[in-house]
Amino acid sequence: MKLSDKPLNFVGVIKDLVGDEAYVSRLRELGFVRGETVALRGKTPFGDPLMVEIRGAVVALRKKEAECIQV
Amino acid sequence: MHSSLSPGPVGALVGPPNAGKTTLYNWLTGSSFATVNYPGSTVEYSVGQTLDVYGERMAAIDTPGIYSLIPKSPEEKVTVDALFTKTNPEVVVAVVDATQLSRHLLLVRQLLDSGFRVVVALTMMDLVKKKGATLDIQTLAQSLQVPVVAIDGRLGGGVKELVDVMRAEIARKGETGLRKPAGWNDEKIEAMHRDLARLAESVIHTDKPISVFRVDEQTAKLDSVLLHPVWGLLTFVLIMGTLFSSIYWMAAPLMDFVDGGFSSAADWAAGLGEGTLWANFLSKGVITGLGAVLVFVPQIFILFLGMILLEDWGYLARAATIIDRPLSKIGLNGRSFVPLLSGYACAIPAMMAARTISSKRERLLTLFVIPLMSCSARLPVYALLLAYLFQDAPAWQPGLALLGLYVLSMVIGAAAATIASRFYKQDESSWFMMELPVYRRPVLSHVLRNAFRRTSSYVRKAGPAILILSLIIWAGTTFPNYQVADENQRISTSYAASAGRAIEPLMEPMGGDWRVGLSLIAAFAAREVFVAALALIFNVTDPDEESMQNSLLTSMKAATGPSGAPLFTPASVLGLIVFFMIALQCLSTVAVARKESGSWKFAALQVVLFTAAAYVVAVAVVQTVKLFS
Repeated sequence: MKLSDKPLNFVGVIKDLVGDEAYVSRLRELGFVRGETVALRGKTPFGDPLMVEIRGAVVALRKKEAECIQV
Repeated sequence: MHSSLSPGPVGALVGPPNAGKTTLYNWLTGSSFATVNYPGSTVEYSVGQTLDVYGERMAAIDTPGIYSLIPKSPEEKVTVDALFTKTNPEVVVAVVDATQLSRHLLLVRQLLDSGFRVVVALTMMDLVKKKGATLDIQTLAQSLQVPVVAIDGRLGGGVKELVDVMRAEIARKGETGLRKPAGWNDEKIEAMHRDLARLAESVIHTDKPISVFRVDEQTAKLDSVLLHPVWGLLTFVLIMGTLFSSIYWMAAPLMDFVDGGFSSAADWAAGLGEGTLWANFLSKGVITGLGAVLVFVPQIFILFLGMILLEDWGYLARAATIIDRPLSKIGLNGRSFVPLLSGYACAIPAMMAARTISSKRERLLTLFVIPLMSCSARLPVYALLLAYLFQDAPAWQPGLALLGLYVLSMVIGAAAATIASRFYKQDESSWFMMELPVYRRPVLSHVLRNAFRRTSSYVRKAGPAILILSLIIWAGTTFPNYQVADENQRISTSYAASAGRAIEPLMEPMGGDWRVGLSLIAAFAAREVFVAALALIFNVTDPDEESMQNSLLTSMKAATGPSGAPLFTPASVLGLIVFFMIALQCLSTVAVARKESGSWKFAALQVVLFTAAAYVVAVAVVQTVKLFS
């Protein structure tokens, strides 16, 4: 399931990265790799981007970008 | 490329965005001198010289932030090209955020794999300490097999040691033999991330292992308010409103002070040689031109001060995140926010701030709409014209109208961005992905130092252009009849007046005559010159500013056009306001736009398009108002 479809405060493990290669390779370099734990920490006031936690850092990801993360 | 600047060895600073590269660069090269920027159609990198306190000089290169050596956009290519071909650095300093060790070390591995001599500069060590942990630098250095130096970005600790280590690395024998990173496929990157995660865990020692790899608690708490759907928006408006109004209210007395100082200096210079050309040149040309450069310095300094304060605190990245969605709807990016906000002070530093937008398309679109933001040079013009429109009305009416003009400039900017983005095809997918930094208490000395540095960079970059253009406008309004003692007569027969008469047919539909045309031409040096030019041509000679405006208003009321009808009607004044809102009447901005976009075509298109659009809309407004009154 896509990370962007999960409810707030969801914590889970990344299964795969799929979608636009431009997003996927960037996400991978940022540390979003298979087996890593991610958490959906919140939404920003306009609902997009989302705040995603990865290894102690918060990264703001647009929904389109978070859609690439399968959990 | 660097050879013209420095004979010494070259050290390049590389690292992810916000890891602290530029801060380190500023410590290495000092605040002001020898920084050369290489502009182009892409993001640039900076080259500077290390300060003498660090011993023999080296060239230091600051590059755009990257997470890996495999470029995915033209912008990331700048850094990779700088490293592999353009500058041939003898040593690469990888700037790594100690709290993000595992994720940021990927780049270090790639640099080593490519054959660079690498030194790791660890930043944010105070945050590791704050979490009650220690980082074993020695073990880290051994595992990576590169020297590691801890840097205090805010106080400058460790910089001297870093330079010594860089020198030692350069002196180390052995060929570097660069090769582009190869074989970094998805599997390798994933395996490397896992490997580095283990490494990070082995070098960070703590009694509370859980908290170290968790989001900073205080940051999470603050974000639950500052990024809250309701409170987040409120605080955003509040913070930006405070910054915005301080640009005007805090700067106003300082600007009056600078302005007053230059006016008296100009009077003094004029008195040196009553009526002579050189005294006039010194007074109305040089000193007034310098004043035009410096009058905005207090405002720009306060703008920078506020923004650096927000940046060091960690809020600016959040502000960009909050506003990303609305901006992405009109073809821009959350990263466009800071440049657009700066545009309300002055388009020149705003355009320079647009460099941080990594997508070329979004950067050019941002550069395109910046001149539409209601910069402070328009304020004196609006003040005069609104005072004319709202004579004898209570003070809140022109005040409200002014606020309306600011809101309208936002709407016009959004419309222009929407239209322009239709014409500029999307050539790469738009992305945001921004790491949100930990909130930290700003260090005042660092904030002040940076505000001074950026302000002086503005003066050095924009100053010469503004001064030269002011001198050209001075010459245009002085020659050929420079011997004539009467100022009013001199300007009425000047080249600029001839130009004003030449465009009189164009001025007529706008409800103006050659005098308005002349003032508009003079305003191309800087918009606020419009008021001074009008005063000159209507022979208003009150030295005091307030009585000057009143006399000018009286003269404007009495002025008649070619047909004998009043020249300044509500219709024609509204037309002028609209013209000032849209027209790109600032040649200094054009010069900076060319530099920042890397294209004359872009700058020319911008000035022609905006000025033509301004004219058409102004004529439409004037004719419509005439029709109904």
